[in-house]
Amino acid sequence: MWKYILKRLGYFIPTIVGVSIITFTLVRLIPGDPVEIVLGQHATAEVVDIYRRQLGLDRPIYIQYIIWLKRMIRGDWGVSMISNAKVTYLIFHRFMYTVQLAIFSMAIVSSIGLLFGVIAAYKVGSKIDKGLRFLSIFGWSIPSFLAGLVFIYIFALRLKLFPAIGAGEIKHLILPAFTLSTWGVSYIGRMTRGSLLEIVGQDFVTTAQAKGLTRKRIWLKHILRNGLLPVVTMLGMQFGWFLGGSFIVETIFSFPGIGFLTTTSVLNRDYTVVQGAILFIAIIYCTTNLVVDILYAFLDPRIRYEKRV
Amino acid sequence: MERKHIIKEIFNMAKRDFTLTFSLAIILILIIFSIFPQYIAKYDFYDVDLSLRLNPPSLDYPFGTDFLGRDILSMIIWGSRIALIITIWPTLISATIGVAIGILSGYVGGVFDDIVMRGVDILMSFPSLLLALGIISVLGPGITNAMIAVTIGRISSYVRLSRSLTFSVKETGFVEYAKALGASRTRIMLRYIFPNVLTPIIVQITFSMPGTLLNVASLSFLGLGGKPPTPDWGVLMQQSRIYLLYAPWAAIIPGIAIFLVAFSFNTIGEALRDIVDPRRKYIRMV
Repeated sequence: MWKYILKRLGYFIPTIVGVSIITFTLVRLIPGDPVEIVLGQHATAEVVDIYRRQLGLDRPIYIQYIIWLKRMIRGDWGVSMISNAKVTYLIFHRFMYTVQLAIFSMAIVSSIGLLFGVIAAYKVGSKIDKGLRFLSIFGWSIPSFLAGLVFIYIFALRLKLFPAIGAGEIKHLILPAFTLSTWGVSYIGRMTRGSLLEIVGQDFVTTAQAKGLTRKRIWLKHILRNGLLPVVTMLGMQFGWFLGGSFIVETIFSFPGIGFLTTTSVLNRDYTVVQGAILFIAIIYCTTNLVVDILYAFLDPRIRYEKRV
Repeated sequence: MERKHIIKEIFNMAKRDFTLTFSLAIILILIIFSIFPQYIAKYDFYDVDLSLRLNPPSLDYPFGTDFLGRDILSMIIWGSRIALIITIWPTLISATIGVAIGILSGYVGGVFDDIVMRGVDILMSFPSLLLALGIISVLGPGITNAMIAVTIGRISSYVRLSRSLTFSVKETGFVEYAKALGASRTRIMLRYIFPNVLTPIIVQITFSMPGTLLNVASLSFLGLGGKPPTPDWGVLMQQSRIYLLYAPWAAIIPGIAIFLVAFSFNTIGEALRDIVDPRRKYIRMV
């Protein structure tokens, strides 16, 4: 168990280092001289030279990376080139909104998605199953920008039930969360169905049937308990996706989360914020995956008792 | 299953499955539109007539007009070629690169394999659209750059799949025989491993198409992909978004077009998977 967790942690650190290298490389590859961008075109050569040395840009690239990494670890992520606000402050502030949206969407996905999946698996082959299968491909293929616009048109512009833009109250979360969930519900629904049906085919289910247990009991005691375990991982990964901020949905609803921050910064060429946002989202994403894997180890007795068996 | 039977089997399935028939029809229509848009579209895509702006659907303009008075239906037809291009190129290029690396990594193994897998893990720790946004901030906005960005993000799933397939093929008898007969590494990979991993990869390609289309269209929708006046469906949506209250058709119809194509590729992918091997799990990225 602890060995597994340690192994998983040992996996995590090189990945984060790799992520930081990619982010660093991306920012270095951006065309244009960073010094010229900061000082303008009319700076004298001397000033440019001093500034370059100050930033460490005259050193070899791997030393530049180490200097950069040290700065990032210290929490000095620079200031926005547009608003002059601290990047760490911007990211943290916006991230809080994304967290709200992520939790709300997660509630929708885990309740409706699981329900659909269990019903489809329990009634496998029936009309309901086929209908849900169709719905799930439907939800899977619908682009979030289409779903978002349709929701805005119907529920905000025509029926005037919920606001189309803004943040801060529950009513602001409803439309973005449902838009975000169309894909998640289909995904979790399908995965739940598949995972449960995999269990149905296993020997211990046949044994339970031979013992004469009722179908309901077999489902509650054997199939659901085993089949829902892998779904936990998928739900966790989904949460990671949501926490990374959804670029499209947040942009459509002008929802001030981290995804909207990223897209606007890319459009405005606000590179310090782009760099910070990419690094932050990737770290969040990796960390959620790590937490999910460890959680799964606790939940799954096959991993929990690995040592004793 | 042999590959030439797959197409036959798909048509057999389509006889029973209405959704599949519908999807095949949509893709066929898309292909026809993209080859002969000039004969099918009633109007040119730069036929601007401000007196006709934001007209609701009518007989002359079945899907209405946009804010420049352009016919939405004609724009959709002109844009289908772009839709096909932005779906196929990133998918095929990422598949080619990914499969090449995957087979090499799976066959050679050792340190090379370790390095490749670490790289794949790192690339996969970025949500796909985030990586694309990062790459676009380097390359600058534009449809080609958007396609390149999406392509890079999609390589890793093919590396994973083809690598694991190579592992299973590697141990089979005929590869051992070929080795005993003195076939070179390159020959073994191209003649013996590649044909045997191809079928699942074709399924993965079909599954990957809707995601590719949605990713590139998303970038266009954000203003980072295609630029007006190209009739790119994502661009059409982005431009008409602000007129949503007065002319919902102008933004929503191109969205429905994107949806229909994505939906059709998904249905065909499912059918292919059911035919080829129902048990394997494919990675679907959106």
